Amino acid sequence: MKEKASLRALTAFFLIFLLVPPAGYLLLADQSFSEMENRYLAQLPAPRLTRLLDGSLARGLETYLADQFPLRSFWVRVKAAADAGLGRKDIGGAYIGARGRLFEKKDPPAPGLFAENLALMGDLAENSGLPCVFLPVYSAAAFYAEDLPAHAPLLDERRFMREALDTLPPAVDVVDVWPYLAAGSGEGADLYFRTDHHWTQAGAYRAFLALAARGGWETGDWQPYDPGAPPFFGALHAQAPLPWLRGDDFLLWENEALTGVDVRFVDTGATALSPYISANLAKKDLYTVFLDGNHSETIIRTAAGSGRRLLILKDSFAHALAPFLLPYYDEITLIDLRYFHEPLSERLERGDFTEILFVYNLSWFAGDENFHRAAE
Amino acid sequence: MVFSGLPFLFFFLPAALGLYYLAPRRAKNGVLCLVSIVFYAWGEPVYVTLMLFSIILNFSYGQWARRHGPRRPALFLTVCLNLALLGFFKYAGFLADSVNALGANIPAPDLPLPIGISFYTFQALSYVFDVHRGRCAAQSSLIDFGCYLAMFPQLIAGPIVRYVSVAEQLRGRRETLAAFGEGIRLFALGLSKKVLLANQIGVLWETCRATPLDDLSVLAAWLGICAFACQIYFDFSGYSDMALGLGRMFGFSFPLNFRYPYIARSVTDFWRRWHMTLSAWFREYVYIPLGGNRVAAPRHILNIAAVWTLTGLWHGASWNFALWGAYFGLLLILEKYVWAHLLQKAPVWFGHIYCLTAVLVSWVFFSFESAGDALRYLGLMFGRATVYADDFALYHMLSFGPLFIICAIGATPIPAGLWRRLTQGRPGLAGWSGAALSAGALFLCLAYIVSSAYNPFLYFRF
Repeated sequence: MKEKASLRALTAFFLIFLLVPPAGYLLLADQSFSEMENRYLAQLPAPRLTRLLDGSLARGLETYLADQFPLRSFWVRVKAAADAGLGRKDIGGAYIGARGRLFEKKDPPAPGLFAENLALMGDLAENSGLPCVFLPVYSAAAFYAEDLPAHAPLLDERRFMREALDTLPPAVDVVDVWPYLAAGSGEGADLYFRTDHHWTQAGAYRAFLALAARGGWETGDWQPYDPGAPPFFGALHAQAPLPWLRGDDFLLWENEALTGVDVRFVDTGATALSPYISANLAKKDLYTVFLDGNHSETIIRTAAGSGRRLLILKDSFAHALAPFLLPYYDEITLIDLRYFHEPLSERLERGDFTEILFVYNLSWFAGDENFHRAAE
Repeated sequence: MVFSGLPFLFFFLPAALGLYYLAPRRAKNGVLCLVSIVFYAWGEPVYVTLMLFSIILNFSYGQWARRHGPRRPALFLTVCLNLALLGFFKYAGFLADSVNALGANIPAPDLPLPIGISFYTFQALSYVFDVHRGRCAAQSSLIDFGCYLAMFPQLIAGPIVRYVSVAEQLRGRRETLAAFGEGIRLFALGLSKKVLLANQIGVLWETCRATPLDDLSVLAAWLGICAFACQIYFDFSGYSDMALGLGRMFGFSFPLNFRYPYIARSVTDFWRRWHMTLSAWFREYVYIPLGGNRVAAPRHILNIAAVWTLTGLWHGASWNFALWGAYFGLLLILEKYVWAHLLQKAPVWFGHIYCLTAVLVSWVFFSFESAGDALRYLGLMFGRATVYADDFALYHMLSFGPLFIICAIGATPIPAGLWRRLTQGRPGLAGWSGAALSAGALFLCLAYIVSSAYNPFLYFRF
């Protein structure tokens, strides 16, 4: 009789297992956007005979069911936890490091692309005739290499750095932030987010110190403060949503120079009175608090009165850095060549810049397929 | 539709089970036939006509043979039509390409392979041959025959169920709670093999395949092919387990398809354990009619070579599969005529290592379409690489180590034996622990299925 009871229990479980998800589909409203994945989710496809016959309706339904599965993020977490429990050292393209850190697992860039991009940068510097600085940003994985899983294959950013130093013409001054980061790493604050691939503003501050030393600037009094955001779960956490990971503290750095600035996002026409967009403190991606995330062109006007106008060609690492530079420039223009489609030469003529700064993550720049636009 | 997909698990299967159990006894085969056709049409709405044609063609042959007795011309015509369908949809492109390689210029048809055509064509042929030879009576109900040929549990990836083995079950089967429970356990086991083991270890093989061959170390090459060996075994045997389990839920007993192939001690032994229903089919309908081993040695060797080249080509329409089959044919001939005694006298561990190495080498031919790449990969495995071990290999060995250990143990009878020993004489414990394991496995599988859009069945290509 005991056997029969367990058979009944198993059968009952199986039927519940089969029937609960369909009920969930019916009862729960479809989601349109997944914050965790930062993408729109598939919706119920419209039935059409042609789509039925060529099989695309079935495929559309499958995608819809996968995207709208009830409590999807719960299941994704269970899977991530099981993978980690089974000893996997990377999940969803993120290395699981020591001390609660996740690192980006990057594919090797196309061979020769880094050298091409460096050559383009050199040409741009020479043609513009302006003082140019390249500030390469190391990845967290390079800086916290001791926290990576054993033998984790990694792009050698120190080698990229040497290549940059060796091949760029004298017109580009390369600033190595490594010693400054290394000096700051003992101070307790994370220089990179543990759950995001960006640096924290503490890390960006270290890069600012490197630039200040080069330019002979007074650094002023910068202090971190807590804007009251919830713990930050960044993009790497979305890739590897391990339930036991702690969110990052999110701090902003403050100085009187931040008051009285005027920020204009050229692509959307929106404006702001601070480089920190406090409305985004309620978003999942807190890194967008810095200059509102990715825009093709952003212009910041200040009351510095220095007569200097800076152009920054950059990826998103520049967003956390730019605020520190405000005291030294009347105007800072940030251009992201991934989204900026105007010929850069025209923009240079129009802009009346006095200096150019390149801020790029080394691994990103080594594989950046948009930098050729710098030559347009 | 795949068993490890959401449409199957949460819409098709509950609907099919519900309709089946609500239907009166005499309508059950009709329901099963109908839902199977829907199952097939889900991803291949047009090719369902092929399946319907096959049902009608082979059923008609049975009817004809019943009235007119076994006649060779009718048999020949039916077999040719079956093979022509299979040949056209599976091999036409391959044949055209092969002839074109010799300088011709035949336009190669570029058709997607109808899913499961290799499986259901072979099932249909088993019926046709057995009716012709008088091994079974012709099926008098078109619905029962359609139910046999289209039955969704084994439609896509086997096992290849010979008609004689289910002829009686088509009419006289009984569904019981015990069988249903066993079905759930088998299905959960198979789904776990597919989703938790095959798909996961497959990631490692994909990673190795994505790496340029020149960059692979010796260790990485071995890791990669071991991962592929685990992937293909757990994928295919998992699918067979799911088929058996689903069959049990509908009251059927299908033949076993795998019996721990990786513990074999010779290649001959391996093929008695791997995809057993396919080997049995070829033995029954090709090898024995050709005279089997009751012929002179040269003819016997020819028979083995013919059967194994065909077995290879059955797996896919490309020369590497023919090469793969021929390789096994050669090993089987050598085992029979050259080193049979050596193998028998050799220690057990030697047999295991010999067999595993031979099989791993075969998977290289199986997975690389170009013979040149396969040879280069074999070269890497046997030392022709720039390094023996690099960070890539060491990292992945650590990252996939526990999964490899689970796969290695899972490919042996150890877990089943252990479970039997622990629960021996305690049916209550056996029942409850089996139920708990199955439920836990289903829960975990669901997490992996929902998390991943990566769900291709390897055996879809065949």
